[in-house]
Amino acid sequence: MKRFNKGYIYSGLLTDLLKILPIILLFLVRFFLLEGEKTADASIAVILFFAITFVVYFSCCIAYRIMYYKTAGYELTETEIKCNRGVFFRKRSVLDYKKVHAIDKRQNIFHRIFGIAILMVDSGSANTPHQAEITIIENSKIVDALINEINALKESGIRTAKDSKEEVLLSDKDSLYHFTSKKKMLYTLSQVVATVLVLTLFGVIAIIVVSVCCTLMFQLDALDAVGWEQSFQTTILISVPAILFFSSASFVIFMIHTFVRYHNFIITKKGNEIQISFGFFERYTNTFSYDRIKAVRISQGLIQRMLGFATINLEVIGYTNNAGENRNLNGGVLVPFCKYNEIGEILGKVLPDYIPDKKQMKAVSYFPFISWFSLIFGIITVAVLLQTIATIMIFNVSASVITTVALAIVGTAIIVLVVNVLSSVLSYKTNGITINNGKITAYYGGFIKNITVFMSKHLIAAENITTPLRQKAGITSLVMHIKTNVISNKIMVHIQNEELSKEIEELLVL
Amino acid sequence: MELKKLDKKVLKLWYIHAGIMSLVLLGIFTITFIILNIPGVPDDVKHAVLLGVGILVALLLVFALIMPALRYKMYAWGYDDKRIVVKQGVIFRQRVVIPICQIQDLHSAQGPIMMMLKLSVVTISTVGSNFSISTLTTDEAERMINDLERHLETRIEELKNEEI
Repeated sequence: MKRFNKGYIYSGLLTDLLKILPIILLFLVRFFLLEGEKTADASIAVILFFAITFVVYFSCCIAYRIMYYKTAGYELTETEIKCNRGVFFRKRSVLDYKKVHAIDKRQNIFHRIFGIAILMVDSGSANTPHQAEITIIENSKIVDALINEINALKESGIRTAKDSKEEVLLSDKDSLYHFTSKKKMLYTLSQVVATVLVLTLFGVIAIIVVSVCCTLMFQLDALDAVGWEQSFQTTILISVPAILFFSSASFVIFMIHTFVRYHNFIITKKGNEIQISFGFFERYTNTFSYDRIKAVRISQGLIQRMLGFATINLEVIGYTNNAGENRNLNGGVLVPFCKYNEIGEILGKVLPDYIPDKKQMKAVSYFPFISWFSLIFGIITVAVLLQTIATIMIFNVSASVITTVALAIVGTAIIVLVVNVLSSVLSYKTNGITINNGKITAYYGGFIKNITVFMSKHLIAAENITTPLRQKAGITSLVMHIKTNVISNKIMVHIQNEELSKEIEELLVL
Repeated sequence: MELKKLDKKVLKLWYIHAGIMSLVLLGIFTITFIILNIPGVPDDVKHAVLLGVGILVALLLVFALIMPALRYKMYAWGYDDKRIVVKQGVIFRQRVVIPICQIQDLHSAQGPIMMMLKLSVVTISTVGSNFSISTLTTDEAERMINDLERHLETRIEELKNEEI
C-alpha cells in the first residue's frame, strides 16, 4: 500500500499553526498593550503559560499528523481502490471502479505551497453522506494522473454495461462557459442589491418600532415633545449610515468572495465525463459521468428574477458546494450566473438532455396559496391582540396606550400579510410542471423561483398532499422524491390538478 | 390495492403519548402557578399570566386528546408486489407511493412502550429519503419486512430481465 505524500504533514502543521497563532497573539497583545502596568513576574508567567500551551498543542499536532501519515495509504488494484486512514478510529475503504460516482480534487493555498492535492472518490452511498469513501493525499501531478486513471478504469466498466454514447472531445482549455469579470461584477451587484433591500426593510422596521416606543413613552408622560423628536431623529441618523455602511461592506465581501471562489471557472466535457473546476485559495476540480447527473436546478432570487439572471446547479451525489464534512447534502454549482435567456444555449453545450421545457400545466387556483397561512396567522394575531389588550386593561392603562399597542400589532400583521400576498402571487405565477417523453420540468418556489429538470427514471417516490376542501375542488400539491442529495431530494409543486398526481405515479418505475 | 387500517393497539399507544404530553402541560401550568404564588407578585399580574397560560394549556390538551383518534381514522397503508402506499394526515392529507424496486434498506424500531404493546415502526429507506409506516404490530412489521424483501429480490430480477 502506497503512503500519502509527506507534504500532508507539513501543510497540516502549517494549518494547525495558523489556527492557534492568532488566538495566542490576540491574548498577548491584549495583555501587554491594553491592560495597565504589569510586574515582571506576571509578564513572565503569562509568556510561560502561552509558550507551554503552544508547545503542548503543537506537539500533539505533530504527533497526530505523523501518526496519520504512518497509518494512511492507498492502493489501486485491478478492480478496486483501497484506502486506509485514521489514527484513533481506523478506517479501511474499498471501492469498486464501476461504483465510482464523483471524483473531486481539492487544493488549498497550503497544499499548493507543498505541491500536494486531496483526491476524494465518492460512490454516492447514502450510508456515508457526510464524507467520501476514498481520500488520497498526493502530489498534485500524481492526483491528476490518478483522476485520469480512475476515469479510464470507471469508463471501461461502464462501456460494457451500456451503449457507449460518445460526445465531441474537447480539450481542457475549451471551457464551455466563461464566468467573465463583467459577469462576476453583475453577480456581486445582484447579491448586494438583495442585501441592501433586506437591510432597508430592517431599517424601516427599526424606525417604526422606535417611533411606536417613543409615542408610548410620550403618552405615558415619560418623554416630552422635544425628546420624542430627538429620539426619532437619532434613530434615522443611526439607521441610514448603518444601512450605507453594511451595504458597502457587503459589496466588498461579495466581490472578494465571487472573484476568489469562482477564480478561473472551467467546465469541460470529455466523452461521458464532465469536469468543473474553480477557486483561487482552494481549487475544486470535480469530475463525474454524464449519466450520474440526477437533475439540473435553475434558481432565481427575486432580484435575479427582476434583472433576468439565473444560477444553474447540478444534482450529482458526491458533487456539492459544501466543504468536505458536509458532502452529499446539497447540489453543486454548474453555472454561477448567467442571463435567463442563455440557459438553453449553455445547457445545450453541456447537458443537452436537461434543457427545461416550457410550462404546460400551471397552478389551477390562487386562493389556496394564501388561505392557510392567512387563516392561521389571522387567528394568532387576533388572539395576541385580545390577550394583550386584556392584560393592559387589567393594569388600568390609558386608552391611548391601548390604541397604540393595538395599532402596532395590527400594523405588523398587515406587513406580514402583504409579504404573504406577494409571495403567494409569485408562487401562483411560478408553480407548474411539464412532462415530456420521460423528462419532467418542475417549476416551483415563491420569492425564489426554481426550475428542476430531471428524468422520470430518477423519480423514487411520489406523494400528494391535499385538504378536504381542496380534494372537493380536485386540487393537490405534488411532492416528487428524486435520487439525489439529502437536502434537495424533494421537489414540491403546489396547487395542481389532481389528475396530475396519477400521471406522476404512472411515471414511477414499479 | 386494498389499504389496511392500523391495529387498535396503535390508538392505545398514541393515547399513552397524549397522556404523557398532557402531564407535561399540566406540569408547566403547576410550575407557573407555584412561581406566581411567590409573595410580592401583584394579583392582577397573577390573574393575567394564569389566564394566558391556562388558555394555551387547555387548547393544547384538547388538541392532544382529539388528535390520536382523528389520526387513527385517517391512517391507511398497504403494499403489493410492486409498491407501498401510505395515506395519512388530518387537515393536510398525504398519499405516498413508494416503488418496491427503489428500496435500499428496511428498518424496524421499538421504544419501551411499544415493546410492552408489541408494536414496531417500520422505516423504508430509499436513495436520499426515508419513509415510515407509523406503527404496526410486531407480527405485521416482521411479515411486511419479509414480504418486501422477497418482492424486492423478485422485482430486481424481473427488471434485470427486462433490461436484457
